[in-house]
Amino acid sequence: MDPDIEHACHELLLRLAGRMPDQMIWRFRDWLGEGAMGTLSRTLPKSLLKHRIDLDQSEYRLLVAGLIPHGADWHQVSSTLGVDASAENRYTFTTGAPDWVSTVDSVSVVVHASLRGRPDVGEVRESWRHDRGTGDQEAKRILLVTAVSGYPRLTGELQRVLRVLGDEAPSVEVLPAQLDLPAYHRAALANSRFVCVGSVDASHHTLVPA
Amino acid sequence: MVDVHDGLPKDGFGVPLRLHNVLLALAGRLDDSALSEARELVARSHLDDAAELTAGALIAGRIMVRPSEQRELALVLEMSRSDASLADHLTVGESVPGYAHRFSQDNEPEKGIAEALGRTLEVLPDLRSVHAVWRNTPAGSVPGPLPQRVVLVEVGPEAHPPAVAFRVDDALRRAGIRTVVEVTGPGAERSEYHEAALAAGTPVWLATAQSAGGSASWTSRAPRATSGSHAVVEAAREPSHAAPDFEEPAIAVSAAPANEAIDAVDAIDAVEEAPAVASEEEKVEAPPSEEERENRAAATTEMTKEEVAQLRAAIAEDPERGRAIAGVNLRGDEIVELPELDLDDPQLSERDRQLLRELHAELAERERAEAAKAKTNGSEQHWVD
Repeated sequence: MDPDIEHACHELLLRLAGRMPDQMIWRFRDWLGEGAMGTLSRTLPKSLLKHRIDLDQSEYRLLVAGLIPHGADWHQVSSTLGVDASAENRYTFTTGAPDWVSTVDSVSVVVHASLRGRPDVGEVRESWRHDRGTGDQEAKRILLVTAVSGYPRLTGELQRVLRVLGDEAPSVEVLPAQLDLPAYHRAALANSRFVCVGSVDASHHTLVPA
Repeated sequence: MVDVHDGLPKDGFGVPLRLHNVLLALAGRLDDSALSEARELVARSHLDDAAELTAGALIAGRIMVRPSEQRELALVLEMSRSDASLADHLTVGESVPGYAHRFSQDNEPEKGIAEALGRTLEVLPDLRSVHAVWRNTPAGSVPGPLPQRVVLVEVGPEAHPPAVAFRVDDALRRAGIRTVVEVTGPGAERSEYHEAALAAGTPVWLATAQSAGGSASWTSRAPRATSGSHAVVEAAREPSHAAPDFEEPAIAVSAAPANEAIDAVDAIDAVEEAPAVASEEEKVEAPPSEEERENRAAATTEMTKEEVAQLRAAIAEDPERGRAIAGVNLRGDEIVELPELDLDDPQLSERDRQLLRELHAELAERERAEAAKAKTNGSEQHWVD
């Protein structure tokens, strides 16, 4: 797959975190990780329209760059561009795990075991997301992984691991090292806990506490 | 007049049921999340989304499908106004690898399900049975956690399988029970996967007189005065139900002559919980509920004379009638109140109505004869609580 196309799609799906339902976005990211671009092109634009998710201009450019070459419908793609699209973040993030997470946190242990010292992976952190107005029972683990390449495949791999461990719609945010992070991810990183670090020094994220 | 596209199949299977069957055939091959989500989308009439999710998950997972399955998927994509060319991206092969799943009934797969489904089982029409089993093997390219609880629901012709699949799944989820729900019945046939799951499954709930519609297989069990989930669970745990067979009556009650109502009550008690004794006084005054009437009508439309005798015995299970028949506290003007005939019910066919009329007349005659007899011998009989 063309790395530019792959990167555009990955960044778009990253920017849709918190705006598209979790159970859809992990699936689209899985399809991207598997290289199912034709499928993504025929389904993602329509899903954006159906869920009334408007894209800003930069996101729209990512959609065009990523999916038009693979047969996305021009009408659908064009209709996703919003004029006053505002990426309102309806979530808050906390560092600590909610009470219902058992004392043995298998996810952290497995992620640590598989990503520590791994090539192309930088810092790995986790945060707990809360929907405004709901209690701890709704808290959801957000895994934040900095990396320098292979984002879609790493996302897909970690999603599969988290699913087997019980998270049906995992939130795995693999952040390209040079990306200007969306507000959602900045907020998550600002309230995150260190899990492990790969082989890449990814300390360039100034929002990550030292 | 608009020229209506007539290229679509006319086999009576609408798109929702076709999609439901596609998903049934993919059970054990596609991940359970995709199955459950697609079923909800089908039930909510988002048919294009359901078809695209199914095709997309198959494509991305490189899950092999048979040529016939590819054609069917292309058809449902087309019929749901999706891009049928998606089906071209499927991995197709004649020899779909076998998926030898392992199922287990250890560790109470039925736990909590009857309670969570209490209201659902009352409301949804023509459910026949619910079984539960653990699947210990992963499904699909992005499997969820194991073991996976599988709930198998068998329905009759009056039920709509896609709706049942979604509602049952929704009720279980709201109760915090993570399952994948497989609904089979007429027009929605079981696959080898379902047969294997059923063979290892534990019965959770089995239909009694809920079987609605003239074509339903009869059940000999009496309508219950109360339908609490507790009684349901107890009934389902009877050893005699361990080997499910949907063509047979859910509960076997030995045939009893119509005039041996009390013995028949004993027989029924042996296989199910008797109605609460404490509420007998209320029931004497309370007319049969609408549900009871419907159930009786449904349960009698296909009965032979012997089965009518069983029904008669079953009616005796109701303390009100039992007391009346046994001659206890009998007043001349309230011997036995038969349920009123509701011949205006639009769901009844003309044949059903005629059968109902005949049955009603026959029951009325028997009631009168037995009440007279009981009145004579009442002091020698003892009501069995």
